[in-house]
Amino acid sequence: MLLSDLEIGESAVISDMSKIDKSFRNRLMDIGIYRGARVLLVNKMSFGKMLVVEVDDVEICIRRTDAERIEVR
Amino acid sequence: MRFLLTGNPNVGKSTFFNVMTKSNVKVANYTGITVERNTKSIKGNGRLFLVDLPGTYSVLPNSEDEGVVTHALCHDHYNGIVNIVDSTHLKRNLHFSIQLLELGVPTIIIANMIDELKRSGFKLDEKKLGELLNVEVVSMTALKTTDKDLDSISSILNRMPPKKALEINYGDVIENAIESIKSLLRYETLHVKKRWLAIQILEGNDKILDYINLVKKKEIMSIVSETEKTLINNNTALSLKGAIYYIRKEFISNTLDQCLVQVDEKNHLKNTNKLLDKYLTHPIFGTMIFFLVMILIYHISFGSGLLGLGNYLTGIFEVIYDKFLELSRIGLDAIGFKESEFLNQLLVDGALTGVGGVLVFLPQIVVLFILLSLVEGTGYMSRVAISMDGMLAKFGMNGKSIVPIVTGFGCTVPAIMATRTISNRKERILTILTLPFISCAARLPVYGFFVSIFFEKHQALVIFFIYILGVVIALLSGKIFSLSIFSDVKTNFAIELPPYRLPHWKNIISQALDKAKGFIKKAGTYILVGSIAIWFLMAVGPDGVTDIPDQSYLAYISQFFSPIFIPLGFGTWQATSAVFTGVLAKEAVVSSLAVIYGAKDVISATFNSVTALTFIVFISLYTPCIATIGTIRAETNSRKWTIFSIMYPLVVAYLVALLVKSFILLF
Ligand SMILES: Nc1nc2c(ncn2[C@@H]2O[C@H](COP(=O)(O)OP(=O)(O)O)[C@@H](O)[C@H]2O)c(=O)[nH]1
Ligand SMILES: [Mg+2]
Repeated sequence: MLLSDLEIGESAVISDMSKIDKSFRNRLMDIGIYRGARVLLVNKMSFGKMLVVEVDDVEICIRRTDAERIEVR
Repeated sequence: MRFLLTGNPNVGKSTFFNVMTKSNVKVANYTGITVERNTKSIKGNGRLFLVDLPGTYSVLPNSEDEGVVTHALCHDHYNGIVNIVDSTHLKRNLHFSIQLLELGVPTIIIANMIDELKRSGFKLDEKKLGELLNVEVVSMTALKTTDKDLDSISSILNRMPPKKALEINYGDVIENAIESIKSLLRYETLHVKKRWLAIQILEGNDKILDYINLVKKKEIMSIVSETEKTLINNNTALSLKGAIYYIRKEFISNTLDQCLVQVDEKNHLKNTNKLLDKYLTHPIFGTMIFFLVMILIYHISFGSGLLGLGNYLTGIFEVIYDKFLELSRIGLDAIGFKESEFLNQLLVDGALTGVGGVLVFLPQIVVLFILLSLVEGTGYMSRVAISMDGMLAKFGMNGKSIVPIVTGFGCTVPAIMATRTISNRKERILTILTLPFISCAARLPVYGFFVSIFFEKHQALVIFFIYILGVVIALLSGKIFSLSIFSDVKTNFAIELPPYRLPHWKNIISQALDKAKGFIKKAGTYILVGSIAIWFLMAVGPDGVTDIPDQSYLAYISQFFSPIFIPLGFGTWQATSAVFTGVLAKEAVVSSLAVIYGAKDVISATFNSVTALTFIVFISLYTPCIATIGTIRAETNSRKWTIFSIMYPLVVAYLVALLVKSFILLF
């Protein structure tokens, strides 16, 4: 399943981020999105083009297109 | 003693810095390799200095700071580190703290935002945290610090004991690699711990490799890639950085289990307010609200009429300054420098008039900055960034570029500095290069001046056209860059949503004062020198002091270049001089024209409505002012891009002005 497939209020564990290029992956890791993290989809914004996820009590907004490259379980 | 102030973005670093140094005893602005850093002494203790470093999530130079933190840690002289952490987000903040603690430098951790932690029902055992990390931890609420807090922090800083580095066991594979790199680094002269260097290199800190011997660099690189391969084969992680990250994460959750206690059964405080977010980030409503907010801000700062606070204050400033000029003339006369004499005119008509022409804009700029920081203080700009991301991505930028663009309507210099939040360097340069097209407040007098003469009936419309033209050219340039020079840039976007907060007056005022100080300093230094030079060139010619401007050096020099502007319709030496002086400061275009022509009716005789429009279109787009060029140089740290930022707008301005002129002449 993909991160972008989550419904609002649903949570999952990130299982694969290898489709995201290395420098952006490192950046995501720095702000708190990493493989093994439990993410909760808090909100969808901008007609669903933007997703707000919560990881370790931090709320982060990413693009849907990036979320489509993150695999969750 | 000097202490480096570090921490993640948005943890209250600036707030802490302002509280600690509120008396502003000493301000030394010096330029680091890429970004400007502030050093100030702590209030009531002139011996203790805080060096404000940019907020980062990691020591690794992959993000906004471009290695400033690494550079400071390796090369600066400092006696210790002050690490601010957000207590409500310790799980993430401590990653950075660990990187600092591994240095083995005297460190104090300030656990900030304790008020918010309490509200979310948790309690931090700071003693325990200090024991586990072997570091002094002080919890505080930076917004509500008392003098007692200040004193206790000062006294801790004063007697910080030497510190043993925090050592985390990274497992056999990584530990072996650390040892091999350490032995290769044995004779390096960098004054930091070799173990720290080794870990940083393994994590991917390329900046450090730049500091060491090339031959060793190769050997080290091969150790790094070998180790990474082993880890990937073992299925430990996707990368070395990842492997190190996971081990630290484990360490952090063990640590926090022992010192973060839930005292109250409460729901975790959400940063987002679903309803507000829904409207503010809505692609249609959000955009509309944003434009309304912008128009309001713009109106209060620059507009005339009931809400035009900035304009009103500037009007008062102008009156006062005119009085001041008159008095200086008379005063100088009284002490023996006759009004008709060279020196009196040089000081009053040259230096003071030039500086004053800029200084009168101080109130508008302060008002604008107060309004912008009010908006920024609420957390609103992050939401705007989200709603505009889709649109800006089409032009090679990302949602975060909206903050610099908005700032750019005030002044291009802080706008360029605001691009520091864009993490990708190329994307950041792309944004920097487009920003000068956004019409800054300094260009408004030029438009106003011409519009009042030639377009009396359609003033607002013409000015609006010029502003929109600037935005369109900025976006188109972004598009062109992203298709050509920066075609390999993939814009990416990930933004932490801060909670909505009430802006804090004390902070806003002190920030605005800081801006004002910088602005006055600028006016008092090179604008002063520039004004004297211009006046001098106009008063002196090949035949000595002259009253006939046509025979001044300024006329001779400008005449040489003026044919370039003949196709645009303003190929006179007067207009050319104004174009030149505009590079010093855009306002100077108006003051030069006024001085050169003397009266407005002379101008209406030399320009007509077509050339006037062509002229303001050109002025609105051409080469940025010196302050902007200097900032571009400092922020890009590249001569190539600085030269490009001078030439590209010149060419664009010329072509667009020509296009506008031909278009009008068609009708
Ligand atoms: N509730 C609370 N808010 C704080 C505290 N310290 C800072 N803030 C707010 O946190 C936000 C970020 O602060 P700032 O100093 O700009 O953080 P910086 O990015 O680390 O420099 C601002 O809105 C501050 O008003 C605190 O102790 N408690
Ligand atoms: Mg700050």
